Amino acid sequence: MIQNNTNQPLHLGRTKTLFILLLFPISLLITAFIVDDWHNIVRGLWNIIIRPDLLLIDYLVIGGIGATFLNASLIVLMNIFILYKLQLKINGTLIAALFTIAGFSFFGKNVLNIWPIYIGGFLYVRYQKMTFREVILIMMFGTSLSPIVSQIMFGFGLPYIFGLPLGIGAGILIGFILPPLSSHMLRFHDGYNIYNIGFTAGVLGSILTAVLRGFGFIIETQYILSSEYDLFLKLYLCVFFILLILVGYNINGNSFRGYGRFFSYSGRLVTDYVQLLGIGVTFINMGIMGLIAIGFVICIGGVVNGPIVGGILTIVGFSAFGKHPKNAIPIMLGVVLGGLLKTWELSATEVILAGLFGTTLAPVAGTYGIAAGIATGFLHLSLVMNIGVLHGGINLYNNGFSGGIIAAFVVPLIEAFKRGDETL
Amino acid sequence: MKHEIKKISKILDELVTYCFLKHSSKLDIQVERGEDFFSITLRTDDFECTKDQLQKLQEYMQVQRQREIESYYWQLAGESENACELSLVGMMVDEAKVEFEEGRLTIYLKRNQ
Repeated sequence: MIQNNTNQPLHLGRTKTLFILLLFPISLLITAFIVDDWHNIVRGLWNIIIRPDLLLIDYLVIGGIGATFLNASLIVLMNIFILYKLQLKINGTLIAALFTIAGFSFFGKNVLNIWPIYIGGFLYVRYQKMTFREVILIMMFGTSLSPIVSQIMFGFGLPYIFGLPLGIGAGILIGFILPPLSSHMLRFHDGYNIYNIGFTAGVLGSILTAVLRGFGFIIETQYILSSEYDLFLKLYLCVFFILLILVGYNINGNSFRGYGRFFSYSGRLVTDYVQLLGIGVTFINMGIMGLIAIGFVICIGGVVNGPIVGGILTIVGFSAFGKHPKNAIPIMLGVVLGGLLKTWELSATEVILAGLFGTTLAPVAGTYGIAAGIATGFLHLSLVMNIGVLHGGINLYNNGFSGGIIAAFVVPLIEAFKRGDETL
Repeated sequence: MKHEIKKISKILDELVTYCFLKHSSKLDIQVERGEDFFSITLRTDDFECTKDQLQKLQEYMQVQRQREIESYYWQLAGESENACELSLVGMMVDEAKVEFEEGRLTIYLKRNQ
């Protein structure tokens, strides 16, 4: 594979970086067939495809562990293939997108419901005479609204002859309008909410849900979560994160040199660590952040299920694009403080998800300090626990939706009370 | 390309904000619109920065054009009044040169359409 016997960081090419990124989906694929038999896997994958996927439906319950791993593996492999064919240089954003997709393939994205959104993006670039590589990033993140495709196809009890084309049509429409919307929405929070598509999809999802409810369709959040794979998933993810650190250590000239430089970045969009600091030390940060995320779940007594895996993998991905321990941990602490003082149980999956995905607000802590980060996390918990009703669970990036609103509220307030200008 | 003129304006906005945050009092900016490119040359004589900050500026400018990031994030350039999106500027241009000597900073950027 890749061997670095020197003390100098390696500069990996596109193909070698993709090769390293392939290791995760391939390990998921192999594990799927080790822990489950193929009859179960095929049946489970079918169940995953034909069931509605509103928040929070855990594929580990409805499909089993083999099918869930296979679903995640196939989706990531197909996306890596698209990136390869588009000849994109692998940067932090694309790594974040791949890990986000991998994570949400445990609860909401499946091998069927993501494609209409990509088709919508393809039609948009044809209409605008652009190239697909210009919108691929938005499409990858934009699959956050893929549950609406499954919901219309299978969740409203419509005959397939109507449900299938309507579901596909809705996905295409979403993919078509996401590129201009997502770019424009950045200005609402000025880049302090890392999951910008979550905010965009939240706005769009709320409008779609309101329209559908107006026609009498019922869209409500669900609550189907597993607990039986807790230990296995913790061990599996820990091994993967340790390997990630070791690979990064090797690429980085067999050292942790340069890791301290992460802490000089606020993480505000656009902070691409692969471009700024190199791929080796970025892998180290991703592994460390993965271990911190698992440690967070264990410390507050949480159970690792599909959505929690999603939260952990999303943190890992965005540790190539904005997050590091110094800007993420204060947000987590704020959520924990909120969990202790408010009515929700600290170890409940929604609270843990708020702590994990709430790190979308890491740039606030990175820019304004630990106290601001804790206060922001504290506020975020309250909003995210109430905002799901707006979109009925069709937007998988619920925390990104909440994060956009919190950032737009908190940042101007902090700025208003700050003295003088800050220089870069 | 879509929003081409606005993108140039955003790049200029970002550069002007950055220089004034670094205590420049006078900027000399030249923008040229070619047949299939835009170029920007910025000069300032009283630019204050440390060696590390200069190194970061050079790193930001050298990140190479990345159209998928530009297409998604370009509207962020020039938006913040006290922080900078220079790496985004670097991702929006095809060529970048940064020269600094005794307080005199020159930035040259070229963006192909």
